[in-house]
Amino acid sequence: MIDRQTDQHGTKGSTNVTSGAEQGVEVIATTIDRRKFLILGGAGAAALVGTAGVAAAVMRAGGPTPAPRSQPPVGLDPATGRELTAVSLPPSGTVRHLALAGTDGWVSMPLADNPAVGDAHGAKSIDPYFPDPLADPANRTTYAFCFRNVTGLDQAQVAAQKGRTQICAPLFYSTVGEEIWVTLTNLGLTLRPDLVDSHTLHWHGFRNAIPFYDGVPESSISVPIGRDFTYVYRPADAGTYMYHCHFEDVEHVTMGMHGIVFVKPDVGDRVGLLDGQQKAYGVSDGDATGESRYDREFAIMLSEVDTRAHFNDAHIQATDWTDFHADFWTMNGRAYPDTLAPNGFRNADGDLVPQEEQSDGSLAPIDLELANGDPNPAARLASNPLSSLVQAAPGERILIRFANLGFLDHSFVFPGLAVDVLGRDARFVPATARRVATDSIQIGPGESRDVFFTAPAAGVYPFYDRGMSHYTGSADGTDSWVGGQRSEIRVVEGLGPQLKPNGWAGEAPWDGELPVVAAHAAPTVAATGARVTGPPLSSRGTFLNGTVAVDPLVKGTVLANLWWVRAAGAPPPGDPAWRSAVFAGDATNTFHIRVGGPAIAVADYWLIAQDSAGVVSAPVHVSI
Amino acid sequence: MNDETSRNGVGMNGQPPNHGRHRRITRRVAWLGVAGVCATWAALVPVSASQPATAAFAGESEGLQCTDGTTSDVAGVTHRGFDITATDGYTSEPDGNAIYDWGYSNSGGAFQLPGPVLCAQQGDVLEIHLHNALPVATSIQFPGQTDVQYSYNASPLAPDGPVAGAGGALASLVHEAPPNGDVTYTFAAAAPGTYLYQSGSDPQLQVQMGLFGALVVRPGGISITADDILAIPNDGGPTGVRSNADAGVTEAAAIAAAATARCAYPSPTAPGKCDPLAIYDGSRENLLVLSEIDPGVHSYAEQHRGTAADLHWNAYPGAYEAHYFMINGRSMPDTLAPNNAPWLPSQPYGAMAHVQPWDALTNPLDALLRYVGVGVTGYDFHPHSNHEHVIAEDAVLMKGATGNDNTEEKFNIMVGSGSTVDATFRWTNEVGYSDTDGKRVPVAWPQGLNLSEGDFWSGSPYLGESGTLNPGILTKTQCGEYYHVAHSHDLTQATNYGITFGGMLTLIKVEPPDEVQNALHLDCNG
Repeated sequence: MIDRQTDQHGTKGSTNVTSGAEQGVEVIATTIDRRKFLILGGAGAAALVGTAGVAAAVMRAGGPTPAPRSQPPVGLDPATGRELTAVSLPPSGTVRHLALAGTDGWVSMPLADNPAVGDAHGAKSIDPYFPDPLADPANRTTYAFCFRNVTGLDQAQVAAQKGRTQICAPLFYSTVGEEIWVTLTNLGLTLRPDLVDSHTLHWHGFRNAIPFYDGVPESSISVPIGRDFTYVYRPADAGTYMYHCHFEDVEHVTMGMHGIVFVKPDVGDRVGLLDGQQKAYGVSDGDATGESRYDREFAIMLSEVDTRAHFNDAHIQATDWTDFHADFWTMNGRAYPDTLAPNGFRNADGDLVPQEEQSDGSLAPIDLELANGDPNPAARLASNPLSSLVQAAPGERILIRFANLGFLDHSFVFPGLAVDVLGRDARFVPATARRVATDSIQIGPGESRDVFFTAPAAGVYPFYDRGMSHYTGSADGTDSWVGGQRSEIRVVEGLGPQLKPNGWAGEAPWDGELPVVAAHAAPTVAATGARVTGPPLSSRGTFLNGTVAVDPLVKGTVLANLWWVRAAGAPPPGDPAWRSAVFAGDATNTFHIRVGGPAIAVADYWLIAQDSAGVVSAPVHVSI
Repeated sequence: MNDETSRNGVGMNGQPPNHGRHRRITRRVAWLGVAGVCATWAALVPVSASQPATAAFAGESEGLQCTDGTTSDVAGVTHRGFDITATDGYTSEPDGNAIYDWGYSNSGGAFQLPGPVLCAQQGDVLEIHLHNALPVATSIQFPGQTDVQYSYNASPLAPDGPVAGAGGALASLVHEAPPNGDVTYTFAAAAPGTYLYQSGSDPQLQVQMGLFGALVVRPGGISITADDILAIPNDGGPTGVRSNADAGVTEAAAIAAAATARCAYPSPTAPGKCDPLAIYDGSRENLLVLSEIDPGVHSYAEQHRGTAADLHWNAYPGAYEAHYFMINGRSMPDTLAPNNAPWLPSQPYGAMAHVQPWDALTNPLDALLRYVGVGVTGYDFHPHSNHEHVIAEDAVLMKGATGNDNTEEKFNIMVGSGSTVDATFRWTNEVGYSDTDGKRVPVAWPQGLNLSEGDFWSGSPYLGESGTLNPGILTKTQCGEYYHVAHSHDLTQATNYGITFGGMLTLIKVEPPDEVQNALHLDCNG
């Protein structure tokens, strides 16, 4: 396609800012309850709040005019100098925004040869598949691609995360009635530039989905490399779901693009809670008495790793997916004993940093590099950031949300505990249909279970997949559990509070981990004109060159649309006179638009850009 | 290099300037099928049960297609006869592979996979005559049926059961027909539900080779009234469980619905009544027989078909590994083709569920899906777009004798090996997205060149609307209908020998409501 070639060969030089575009701040907020929200169809109820002065043009897809303003601006944000709008929204009425980026990289399975693992805790190598000889940095073993949470990063930071994947995908959640926007950016694959795969986000189990937001590339649209798309969800049913890329699903899912998403009941729908507790299902879901209340929650995604398939993807080999044979059985992208290690976090640069537990129980970051600049072997779990350790204090009610996006059935046992399965496939199991407390659960591919138990006396309680043949065993034969789905419930007296789902005691969310309220500035266009007479002949023409900056706060990925027009004055947004243009799918959104031959008459040109949330820039004028 | 790096015609909102104009699409070629098996899109689209349409070929239909057999009255009891031949033939895979199979054909008809869908009324006496045209002895086992009797050549009926071979070893689970021989099985269809039938002889080989089918027994003596329609539980979300009447179903709508309603299972507590959760739209009844093929086994059987001694499981030298996964004997995209598609002569049954949005006034009934698990393992089947309500397993309604409700809504249907599952399905335009002010999708929609478009994508987020697609593509749908996939979530099984978007995968077609189609002159099925 010619359009796409332009994208790839866009000129990046000679860019001058010719217009200081107006900046505006939009707060997208819903302040009505869920029922009205659903009745109104959402878009009309979601008020777009412009800012004072000459607000940036704001447009919603399909909406000919901006929705009425409902909240006044309240002044300037001292940090950014931007005008802010009052945000006092009930928890059930906010719109939250999450930014995910799909890319590839290297992750770590427990390898005996790694000095940070050792023969007693690591698995034997599988020549030539494990460890992959291409792995970089050297303390990783296995090629993967997956989603990264890039919420709040600026475009340069997001672009810098290309090639730095993780396994499995980040956990996210919402609340019934709380609209959540998830922008998916496709950063492409560093190791496989020949693979031009798109990505999608399929919220598995979301009820009454429309194909537009279901993320099945065949029946909908998908996100090519260098582009992004924002999925909007209005969850109406609490429970544990999962999400994954549906593009060439068998490959993309097993390569890592799978994670847990859950929905909490509406605040007004929660009854039967004690101080500090939360609840998995509301009265409207069937839990009228508070059976699904809990003190701590942990989400554990089950999958498998066929090292041959991961090797094949790294080495440009095809895989017969019907010949799948797992080598590692994973919980949150880690195989035992890595499952017990702490969570990692994302630092201010956007990089993933692993942590280690200190003697006092606190967590400290592990340096990614040694003093000499070599990769730190101890930091090998940087790309496997999600822990599966369950912490509890005696007597606490604990929820473990299981989801399985592997290809195999799993049977988890909890010796010594009595667990209640109160949720199956994001539905509360009523008492009439419930088994008495059990110590095992079965979970097939694509299923979820909400498992509750009351923490017993202080001690360590393992839980694991009962499929014994799954475990690889350590290289020196001392630990038969290595390589599989095994973790522990550690019950400790006087444990500090849990501050986030899956969090260890006292572990706070890192910046950007949780979806933020969507408030952001309009994109800004910087453009200049150029007449090029060549040689060569192929470069002749009159051009609009420039870049588009998108607010790094929340929609900090790439641009949705860019338009230009030749006119004395800028037409209003939405006017069919605007012509769409392409731009580079990188942090700069560079464009290079040929508007005619080198000798065409001098004329006025206008450009506008639209970010993936629908916010449109002020028009920028160029005369060439 | 083109003169311009942009193209005209895309509006600011990412939609075409003429969005909202509904194109009328008839039988234009819209989607060229994979591997040439599917000729055209038009050929893939089944006829709506609710709309008269000219069939493209004889027998074109969608949904569960019954074989009713021949009936006779014997002392006030309906006897229903089926004439089945076990024979061999070939089926087609979407990658072009032709697979040698064994299967049950109907009344001496052509070879087919799976066997004919036997339908009966509860209380009927079924007389199933099996003729064996295979080189090895074979049989039919009816799991879930009791008091099955057998007869050779009109000999007196005798209780069926395992047959001992040399030295007392188990020769067959039921009495067999020898090569070129016959056997008749007789039983009363005592309980309604969805059942499997399969070979009881050397089942590891013979069931794998294709000797299986489905039996549907419909409950007898059931009447469904408008009041029954109004009383169907309708989970209303915030207010908890409520009835269809609470959800706005009117008397008139209930009367209309009762005329097309059908019952899957009777109420355990109210004689003569259907269980409220088992009432479904009789024109939206679907069968999904889930199976798999190891082409190595089939190739072995093909090569040794002249040597009966080689045609048993113990003789097969390979290790079992399935590479094809099917619904009703077809792999995606063949699962989308209508029943009796001429280009799939041995695979007569389609598997695309076809619904309209649930609506209190015009469409208050659910669709029914009858799953049959034939494989050596269970299948975890994931319907997109909404949970399905699992109401029965192994032909038993999931309610206790007192009516306590053990049914459950699932986004993943576990169909165990040899099990059957019945589930109802509905899709509701819950958020109410439509191409009207205030109801549009709330975010920017990148223009087509910034997105990849799927083969079943209408170009619009809105049901019943066809948007602009990338240059050169007129349309990929008929009337802006939605497609949702439904597939095994062991994703290795949603492939054709490893190639994605194949295998045990089908689509759910959600078309605009009849009244919308009529008002906008949409042609969703032409």
